[in-house]
Amino acid sequence: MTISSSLLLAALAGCSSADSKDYERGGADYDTDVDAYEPDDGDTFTFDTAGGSPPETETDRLNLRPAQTEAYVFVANPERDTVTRIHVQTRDVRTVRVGHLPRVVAITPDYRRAVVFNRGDDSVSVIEAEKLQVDHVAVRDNLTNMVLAPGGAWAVLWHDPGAIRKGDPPVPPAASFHEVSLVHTETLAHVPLVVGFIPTAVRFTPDGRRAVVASDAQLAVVDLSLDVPTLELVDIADPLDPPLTEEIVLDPSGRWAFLRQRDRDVVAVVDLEQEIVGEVAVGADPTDLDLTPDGTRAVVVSRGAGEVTVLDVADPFAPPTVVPFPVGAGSLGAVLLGPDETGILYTTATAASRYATWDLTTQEIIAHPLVKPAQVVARTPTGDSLLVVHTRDDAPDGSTPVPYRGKDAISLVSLKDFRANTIALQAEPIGYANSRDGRRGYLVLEDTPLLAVLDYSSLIHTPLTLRSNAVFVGVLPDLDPSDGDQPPAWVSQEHSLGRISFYDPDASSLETITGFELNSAIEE
Amino acid sequence: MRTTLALLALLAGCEQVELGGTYAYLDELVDPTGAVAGTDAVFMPLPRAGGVARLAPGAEEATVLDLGARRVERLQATPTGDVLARTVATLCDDETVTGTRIDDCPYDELRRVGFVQRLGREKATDTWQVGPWYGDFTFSADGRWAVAPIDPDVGTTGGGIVNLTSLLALDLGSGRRFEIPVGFAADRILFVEDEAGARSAVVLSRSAVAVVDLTADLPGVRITYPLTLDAGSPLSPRDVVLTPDGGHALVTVAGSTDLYVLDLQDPSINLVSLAGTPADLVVDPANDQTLLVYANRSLVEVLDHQLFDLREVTLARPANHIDLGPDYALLSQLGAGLDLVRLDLASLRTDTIRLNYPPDEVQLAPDGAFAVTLVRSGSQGDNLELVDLVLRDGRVRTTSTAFRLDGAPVGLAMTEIPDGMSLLVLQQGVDTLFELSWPLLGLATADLPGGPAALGRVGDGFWIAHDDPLGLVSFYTPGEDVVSLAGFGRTGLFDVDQLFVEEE
Repeated sequence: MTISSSLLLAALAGCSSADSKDYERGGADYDTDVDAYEPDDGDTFTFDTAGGSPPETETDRLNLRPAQTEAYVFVANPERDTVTRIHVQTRDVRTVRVGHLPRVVAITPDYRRAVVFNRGDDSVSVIEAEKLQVDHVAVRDNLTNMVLAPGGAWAVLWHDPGAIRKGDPPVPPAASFHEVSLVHTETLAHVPLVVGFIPTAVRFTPDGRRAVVASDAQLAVVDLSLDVPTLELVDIADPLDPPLTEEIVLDPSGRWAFLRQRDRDVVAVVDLEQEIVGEVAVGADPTDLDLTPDGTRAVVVSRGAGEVTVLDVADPFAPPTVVPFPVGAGSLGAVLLGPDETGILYTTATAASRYATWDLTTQEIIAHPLVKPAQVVARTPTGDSLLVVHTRDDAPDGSTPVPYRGKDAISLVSLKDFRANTIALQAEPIGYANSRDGRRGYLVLEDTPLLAVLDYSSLIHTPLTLRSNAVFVGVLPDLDPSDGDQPPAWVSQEHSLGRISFYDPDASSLETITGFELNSAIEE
Repeated sequence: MRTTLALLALLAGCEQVELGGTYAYLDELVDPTGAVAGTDAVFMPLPRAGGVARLAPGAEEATVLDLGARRVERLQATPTGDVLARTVATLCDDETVTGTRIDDCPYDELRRVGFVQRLGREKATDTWQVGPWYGDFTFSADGRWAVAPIDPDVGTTGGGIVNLTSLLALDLGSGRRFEIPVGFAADRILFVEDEAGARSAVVLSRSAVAVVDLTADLPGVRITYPLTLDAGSPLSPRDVVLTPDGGHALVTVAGSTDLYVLDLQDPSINLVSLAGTPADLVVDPANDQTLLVYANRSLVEVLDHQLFDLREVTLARPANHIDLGPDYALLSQLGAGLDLVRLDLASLRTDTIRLNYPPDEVQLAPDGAFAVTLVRSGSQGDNLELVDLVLRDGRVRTTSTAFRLDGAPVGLAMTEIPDGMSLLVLQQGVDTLFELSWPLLGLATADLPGGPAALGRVGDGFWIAHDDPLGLVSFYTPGEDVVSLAGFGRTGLFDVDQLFVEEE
């Protein structure tokens, strides 16, 4: 196997479910997602307006992105309270003990540290990646999720309702739901803060100097540039009856925050510097909010109105550009924005078997058919292809072709000529990963010992048999595109002692390591 | 008088004779199946006397070694021709007892102590006191190290407490002795050796594999590999082999289809899923691979030692035994199947030879030109088959040459002759040595003084132990007459068990 020689790290949460859980509050269900600002980010908001239109699931719940790439894959073993580091090239396996019930593993961008959130004992373990020196930091009780700021200096932990898992420790007798813990990954300092009531999301400015913790009534703006971070609360709604915050994005400068709120046909625009909140009217029933990859425009999809609204980030309150869907495009509620001034409009909330391409330059929207309704739509990083994961349910209008009726399926779609290859599956997909060069994708299915290698050029898939059912899949980024080598993919599998396979697309070889959890008990 | 009575009893064909109020069974005088060969002599235990007889080719009589008041329990030969005796002695802890016989000491004051003794020409040249609870030794190839685990069937604690995780390691070079805790129920030991000798011992015990560093001044466990993380479900390792570079140990586990690949240099564990629980595995050094067969699967798996990937070769029927030839492996199903499969180790091509009788044992000729299969008291009697394994025009003969025997084969040896190979065949109850030549299949015979019980090599020839209650060993060099030594079992016939007195 030819592997790029750069030393980087990839991290994944090894054993928690790929599915995002729903948190039910006030009759509504929604998922929350956390991420740094990243173009074409997949948000994971799902909501159910009682009596209203069904929610969109613009989700990358199936997409597990490693924090970093190359040389190492870090796997958390919650049942053993260990984290295993596997060198992709040499298959060297090292396991270290961390806290109880490790739930999240993240890697600092300099690849020097792996940061582990231990759900079971409310702690963070910071692992020096090369020597595997482990330090532990106690954090506040009742936190459920963790994310690293860009730059990796700070880890932010908070109570994320969407990250609650079966088997989690019970809520302590005295528990808060709006505290966050900040942990400095180098000095191991711990800073607890109180933010707005029940935070729903955490966002960072690209330089990592500020974090925004979103609640329904307030945004907590945390200054991470200080040795001891401080926060300021910005009121964004009536605290007595705030609308539910469903989505938030920050502009690259960190000045503006854009919010989509439940049951409101507006986008809230918050000036984080002036602490001023304004609103921009959008079409009825806004269902998705994103920033363009260059960060210059905020895009709102209004499914009810059948239009998209484009705001200028530099002047958010200027009259927006409104682009109506063409007649016959049907119900579209979510958007994936590509690096080439194009967007893909689609819906996962209605059983519509279609998607549309949108040229942000000409504002032209063209609808295209799908074999079945979609539950997940993903665009390759180059923007040239789509991976559509279909619902098992067929289109209600009977348009689903016979071979795909009642079956799970995926479609590989070329966005150059809109050819599509729809593949019927024997089980539901539970995870996928796309290479950054847009050439390959990898898909795993529920309770199935299979890795499907997807070729986005030919739209052809190659099934590879695994030794046990797949759990998670990932692909290492290509740090040196000029060398012509394709980066390997990894797939973790069910095994009581740990199993992971590495696939080299250049050699079409699959190598498997089994029993790596035993390594934690080797005595020297 | 007692001597006269004993002789009369023998003449009368009695198997038992009274001696001073006790009875001695004549089949306790010698133990032909316990005999081992050293560099230039054969050593045979004398159970009744508790001693050892040394029998050398060309000697006029046997020499009974002086071991003090110790009794021999068993003998083992090292790879370099030394012979070690496991002996025990009985002490009396009652200091008021002045008698020298075991009978003089109250029963509850008796205590057994164990020893390992290196046997010389007339007596032991080295003696180590070791607990009698240790099992058989495993020796390093250079004969320097002898390592023994606890024998689970030995009940005695010598009046003290025995650490059941202990391993006995004797440095036969320096004479030092070590007892090293390695794990419970240790039972298999393998040495990792290089040009300088044995560097470590890989020891299988329950649910773990320990690597003992033999190069340290105080040998001890350097690494312990767990086989499971579930203490409630212990695993019993069954077999272990080393890759040719000594870098990995391959361990099979009873009832498991996992092969544990232990990296001995950069400690880590990887599990390889096999097609089943292996019945046998053999390392092929020339091709840097390991072969595995399964009693209930008609296939052989080939494991490479680089990526530890498996390739599968389909067989017509399962195999449970592998013998390694110069460039092939011979797969057989001992006790059950009629197929012998010649597996080319480079191409993995198979050729099947059909036997006439399911073999109990298979032996390959040293040059790999043929194989011998033996059947002991099968439904169709005792048989021997010769199988030609030479490739001619790219193929082997698919049939064998079968021989009917008059008695169960008790010994088979091969020796080179100018035109090929000579097989020495001994049969139970048959007072004849048969010499079968290969490939001409000529037959020569030599009369033996009695029915054979065991056969082995010594010096340039062979030794044959016979079923004679008073002791009988023959020596045979091809082309020469059979020469025998007899009657050495009389030694100690009338001796009384003595108490052992520890030296100050």
